[in-house]
Amino acid sequence: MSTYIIKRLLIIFPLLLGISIVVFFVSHLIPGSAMEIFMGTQVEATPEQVAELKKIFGEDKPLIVRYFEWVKDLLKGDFGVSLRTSRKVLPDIMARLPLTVELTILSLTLAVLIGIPIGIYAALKHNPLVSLIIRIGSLLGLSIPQFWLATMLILFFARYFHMSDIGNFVPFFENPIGNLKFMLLPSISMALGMASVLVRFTRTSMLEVLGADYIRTARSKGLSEGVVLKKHALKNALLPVITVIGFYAGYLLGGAIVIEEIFALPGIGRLMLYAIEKRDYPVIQGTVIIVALLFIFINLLVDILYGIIDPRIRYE
Amino acid sequence: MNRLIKNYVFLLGVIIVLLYIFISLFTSYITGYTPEQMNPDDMLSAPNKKHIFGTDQFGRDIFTRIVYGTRVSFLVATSSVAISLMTGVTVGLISGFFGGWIDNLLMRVMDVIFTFPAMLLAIFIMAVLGETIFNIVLAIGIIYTPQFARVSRASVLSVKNMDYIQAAIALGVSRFGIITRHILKNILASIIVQASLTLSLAILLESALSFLGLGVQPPAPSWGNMLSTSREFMIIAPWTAIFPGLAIVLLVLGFNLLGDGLRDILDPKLRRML
Repeated sequence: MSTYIIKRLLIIFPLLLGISIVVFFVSHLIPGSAMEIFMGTQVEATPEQVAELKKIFGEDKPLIVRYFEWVKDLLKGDFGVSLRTSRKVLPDIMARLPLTVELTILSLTLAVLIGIPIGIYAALKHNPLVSLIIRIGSLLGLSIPQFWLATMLILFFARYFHMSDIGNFVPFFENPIGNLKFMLLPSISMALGMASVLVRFTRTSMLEVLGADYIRTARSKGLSEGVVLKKHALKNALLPVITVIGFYAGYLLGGAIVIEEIFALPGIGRLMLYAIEKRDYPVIQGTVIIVALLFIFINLLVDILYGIIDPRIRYE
Repeated sequence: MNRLIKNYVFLLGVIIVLLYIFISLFTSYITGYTPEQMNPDDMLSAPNKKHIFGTDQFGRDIFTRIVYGTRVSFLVATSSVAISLMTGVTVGLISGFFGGWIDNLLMRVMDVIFTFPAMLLAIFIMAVLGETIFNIVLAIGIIYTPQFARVSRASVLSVKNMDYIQAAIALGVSRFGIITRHILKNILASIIVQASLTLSLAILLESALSFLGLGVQPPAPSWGNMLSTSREFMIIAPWTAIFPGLAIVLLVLGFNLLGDGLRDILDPKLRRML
């Protein structure tokens, strides 16, 4: 098991290197430097002052040197300073991380609770009409943009339940019920697409397992249908579904950025969009890195979980 | 051909996509208004005979703006997917055919792009490069390149050691000739399916970017930016938020049905499971 985990961990390093290269060099495609953005257009500065500022921003060195210095700082947890608030970037991001994580977990849970039972049901009721409905229905679910579903939910509740004021966000540990109430609509908007994917995947996986030899054996030795399904089919059918969760975690994290903006939730996504509006590049860089890391971390977790549940994977 | 028609999913997809192609080609015949034509006397009016989808806050006809928005969506989606397809397939073919360190390097680069959630990378690139249509196409094009690279690489690997390829090598056909004449033809099916599904993702991504103000900029009509401005007025004028969204859903559904149906038709192994 430990060799498997170490192997998974080793795959991460080239990815981390790649992320840092992309984030750093793409950021430097911006016309104008961070220093110029910091100074704005109104300020007159003498050449000496400009040189002094360049030193502070580290812009007197070649790009490649600055990349290595930047990575060294990142590894120490120093993500730089906001150009607008002069506050350190990382603590501000970390303060907003729990909300984004909560939103992702809630929508993932909803997607699993909706998608898997429907998928199992569809596999058991295997006839052409049900198949067609499930197939078109799940494609429809995938086709609805998260931000539009969110808009429609807000519109619906505002018009028919006069809930134009959806209240203020409260952190989970201060008021769990108030928090979950507030998070319900955002989570639903994010979950629908993934639930649709899970329906299809669970159904296909279940049908495949139900046709397997060991299920026929279980039936022929006289086990009841319930036991066959619960003990033999379900367990094996749901295994591959776990990998879908890892794959679609990126879909949820990306969706969270837009959904946070619509529901005015103080998460990482909203911080990022605000930083973009203000051209606050250190904050933009920081948020991009943290969200990408979160995505890698979730996938690592899924891989390890899969290795624990299914020993066959470890030996591949 | 018979199989194509019998596949209802595919057929429905074709009808929807053709409908949109028709709309984007004959915009000026379909509507008498222009997308930026304002009418101060007719602001935020509900759907009626003159304006079947109603008007927005400037009195512009929403139906007309959706019709012209079709062009923008098609332009962005097809050109970005063309970029993904050409780059991705080239990378995948080279990787799969040559193997070794070239394969390793190219695939690691693809992995890195894949490590970013699509929406995150799109927002980041747009924030840095600036909001022009060219940049949207470029950003979406880069983001969906790895899928094509993986699909074509996997297909190359599966046919590379087959007898007919080995025979071609033995006969002295050049590497380029083998790739273009023998391998490309064989992986065409899976690439077409991938392209159709990626078109749906590209439309969703463009609309989300435009919704956030990082995509197509007003006053040019795009479904995403129409939805963005409608947020202020949607409680009193729900039609401003409902119709552009439906336009997105239907076209994305069309491409999804098309891709799904095609996969069904082109890959007989999958057919029994779907």
